[in-house]
Amino acid sequence: MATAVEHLSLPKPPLRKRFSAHSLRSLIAPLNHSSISLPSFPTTHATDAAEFPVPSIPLLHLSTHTRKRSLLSLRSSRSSQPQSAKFVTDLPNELLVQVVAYLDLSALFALYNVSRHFRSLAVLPLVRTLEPTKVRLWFHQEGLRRTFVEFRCRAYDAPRERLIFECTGGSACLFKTGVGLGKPQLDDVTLIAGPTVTCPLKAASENYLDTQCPLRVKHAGAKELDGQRHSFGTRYPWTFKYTVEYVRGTVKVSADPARAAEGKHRLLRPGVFECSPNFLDPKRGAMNVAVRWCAEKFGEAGTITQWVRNRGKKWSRGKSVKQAESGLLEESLDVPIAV
Amino acid sequence: MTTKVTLTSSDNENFSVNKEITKRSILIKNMLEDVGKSDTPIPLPNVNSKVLRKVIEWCEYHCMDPLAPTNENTENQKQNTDIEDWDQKFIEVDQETLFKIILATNYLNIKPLLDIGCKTITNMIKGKSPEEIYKTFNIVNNFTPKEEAQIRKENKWAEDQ
Repeated sequence: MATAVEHLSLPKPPLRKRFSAHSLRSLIAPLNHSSISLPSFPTTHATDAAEFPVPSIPLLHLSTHTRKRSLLSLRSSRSSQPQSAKFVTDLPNELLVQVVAYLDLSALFALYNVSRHFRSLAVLPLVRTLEPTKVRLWFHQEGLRRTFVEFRCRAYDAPRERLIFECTGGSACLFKTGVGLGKPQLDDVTLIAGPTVTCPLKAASENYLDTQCPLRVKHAGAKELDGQRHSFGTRYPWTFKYTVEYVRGTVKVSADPARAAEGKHRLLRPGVFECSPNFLDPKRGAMNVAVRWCAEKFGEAGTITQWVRNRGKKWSRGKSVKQAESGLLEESLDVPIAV
Repeated sequence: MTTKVTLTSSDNENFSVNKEITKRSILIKNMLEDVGKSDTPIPLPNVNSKVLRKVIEWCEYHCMDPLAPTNENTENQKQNTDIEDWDQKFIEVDQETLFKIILATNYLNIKPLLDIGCKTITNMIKGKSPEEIYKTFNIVNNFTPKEEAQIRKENKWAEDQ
């Protein structure tokens, strides 16, 4: 007998031998739409993978708390008992999944913050929607160059609730150190919406970064930029991992610190960008930095915040991004390295 | 001459309905095909009389509609949450009834009506902040205090927007 439930069934994800029966159940049970799996992400360069090992967690592995609740709230729509539903949470998960499938990105972000149950329902479509979206990190060294590197969503780390973006194309940025030269900075974080995104994200994509973040490039090695140190009080957990190499022209030189001073060039190899999904909320991205700062300082409904908001685009830092996109920037560098 | 089928709700109320109308439900259609010619009432233990009456009303209005194709999962259709005027008025019921209609249509396998129900809930969610969603659906926030504090921090900018 065919039922409407069958419309929701999708192909099941491939099972790996290393999963125990328990872990498999925990992966599959929570949403009752286990079969929705992200398409496999393109493999990255071997060097990147070695330098920035992404945690070997299964995609969208849900936390224990979510698992228990979801199992308890799981209700079969084929039950022969008379069905009653006073609240939306009484609906079986397969129907809630269908409801969530109609939501746009903004609504998914709202639902993501409603409850654990709804977070578990919203996270899959949210990540699937963001998957074709590229995050663009803009680097700027005053008087030298402004360039960007693109990242693509690779996974969602559910226990830590982080979206993991990996650098595409093995791009690297060349900077200089020396007297009179400022530190290179992470200038902006913008989004390039994928074709499936039909929400204000395309219009928003201004700047998701609160303040400029200086990058440490003086010494070679693996570095990590902690975004929590560069936010307006409000903590949007994000991190950017990268490595710095000494180069002379386009030739990689020894990593020996004693010889570091020989060359002024530094090659920044972007690794992984991780952030809380809320960091990429398009509503937040659409707010200009001044309003964000005032909202943090004086409250969203505060008079000063409202006044700044009404000032509109005059305060927006997004302008500089548009200027850069219109031709004032240097393209991302693919520097050949001779080892 | 049109044949009638008797449907019995969970509270034992009988509804005599045109056979063609009941075929909007894949469940009943299959049952009728399996049973063949029979006057035996079809029991629907999952649907009460109030909800069944609403479902029959919808089926009667839409009896001339072409049957929807099964593979409608294209992105555009998923994003489209528009509901026709008549259906909009039909589904203007209290939340409990709405959820019961959705459960009933899922059980009876009436996909177009199920879609309308789901779209209605979707439209109730759209454009709302998490706090407004709590209030609309009476949802209990079950985040741990630590998680809630983190969410509040992350969404402080959106408060009172």
